[in-house]
Amino acid sequence: MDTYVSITVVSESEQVSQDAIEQAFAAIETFGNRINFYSDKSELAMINRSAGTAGVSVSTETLDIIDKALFVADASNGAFDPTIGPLIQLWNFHEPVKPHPDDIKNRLPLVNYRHVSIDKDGDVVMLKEKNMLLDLGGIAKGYAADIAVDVLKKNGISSGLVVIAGDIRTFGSKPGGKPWNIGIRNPRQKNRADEIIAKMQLTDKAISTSGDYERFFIQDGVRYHHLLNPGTGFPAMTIRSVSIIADKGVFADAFSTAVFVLGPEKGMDLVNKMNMEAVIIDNNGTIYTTEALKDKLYFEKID
Amino acid sequence: MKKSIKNTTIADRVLFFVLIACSIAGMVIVQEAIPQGAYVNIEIDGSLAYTFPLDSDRIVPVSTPDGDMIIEIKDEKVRVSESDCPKKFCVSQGWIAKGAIICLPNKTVILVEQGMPYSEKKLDAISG
Repeated sequence: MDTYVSITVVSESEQVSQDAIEQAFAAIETFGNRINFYSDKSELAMINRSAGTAGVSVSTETLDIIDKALFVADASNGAFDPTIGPLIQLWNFHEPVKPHPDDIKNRLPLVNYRHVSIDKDGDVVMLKEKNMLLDLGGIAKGYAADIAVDVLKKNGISSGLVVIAGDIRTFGSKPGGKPWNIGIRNPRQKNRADEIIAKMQLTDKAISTSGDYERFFIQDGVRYHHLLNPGTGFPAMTIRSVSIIADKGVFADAFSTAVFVLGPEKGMDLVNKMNMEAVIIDNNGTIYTTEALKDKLYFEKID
Repeated sequence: MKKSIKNTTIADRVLFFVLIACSIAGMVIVQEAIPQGAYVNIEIDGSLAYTFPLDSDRIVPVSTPDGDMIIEIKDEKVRVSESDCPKKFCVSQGWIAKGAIICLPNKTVILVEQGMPYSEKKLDAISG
């Protein structure tokens, strides 16, 4: 995967640790190659090329992540939508240029997760409309963290920490039975000192954060960022960052995008419905958390 | 060059070693001595309520169960600019760049500390 990956394990044997970590990195690599949106050779690219014409037989792993992506799309009523590819292609955050509204309007009908069909018996995926594009960018890092944890466990590791960019999965505890200390990035960091807005302790949980500060440009005082609303084709504007804590990385990752798009109120409703925990920082800097998190978060109070 | 190394006496080598040790020690001392940034910790009734970097200016209204106060951070110094405690010793202490201001009636301690804030010190990972 084209991103920062870090794996930490607790083990009595250095050899066991090394072997397990190597296996985990290899598994992430294999998975990354299968679902790479930008590579012609990936299984994802094959699905996209065959949109509107044929179903594509894929690995069980690729089928499974698409299945889970569709689950989150359904649960969030399309706030997270893995068929957002045609819109993602229009936005380029390296140059401060907004896509033409007509281009966005023309592509909006292509974004519809209901037009993805999967056949679990034959491991076949099909996009029903021509020019549809699956993009798993909003779910793949969390899923990769889960893959890594599964591989580590199979290789005799009972506790560790997998970090893929901002997507983190913890399992077991640190030496001495201590939980892992995880920080949440301040979405409006001004200096080195206020990098973290809150801190918490996690054991056997995943946390993912979606923020408007990752890829963006500012034009006429408006921050245009990569978290697009699948319904409008424009960035979702009511939130600065969402952190979701769930049992699995795949759900923490995808639901953080969904909640970002839904906004603080509807987003929090979804979080509660899915029995997850969340920290939401809205556009005014107001911090919302789920009830159970309230006494578990250590806040750095920042203006 | 090779020849001159061969011709060194034991004293030369000791001197050489001492010089290297000094320069390494120098690096370590410099790293330790130059502060990595100072922080203002505000503790209310024994528990840490706020942490701010000393090098960014701000005005912080603080409400405690015993009274309200306004804490000001400016030019890498901190003071209590207003307090509704009776004798206002905390206000009269003025600006500090190190040490602490303690307001007993409001059970508030304002402490300037060097180094990384607590939250960053002990993190295993950052999400975001």
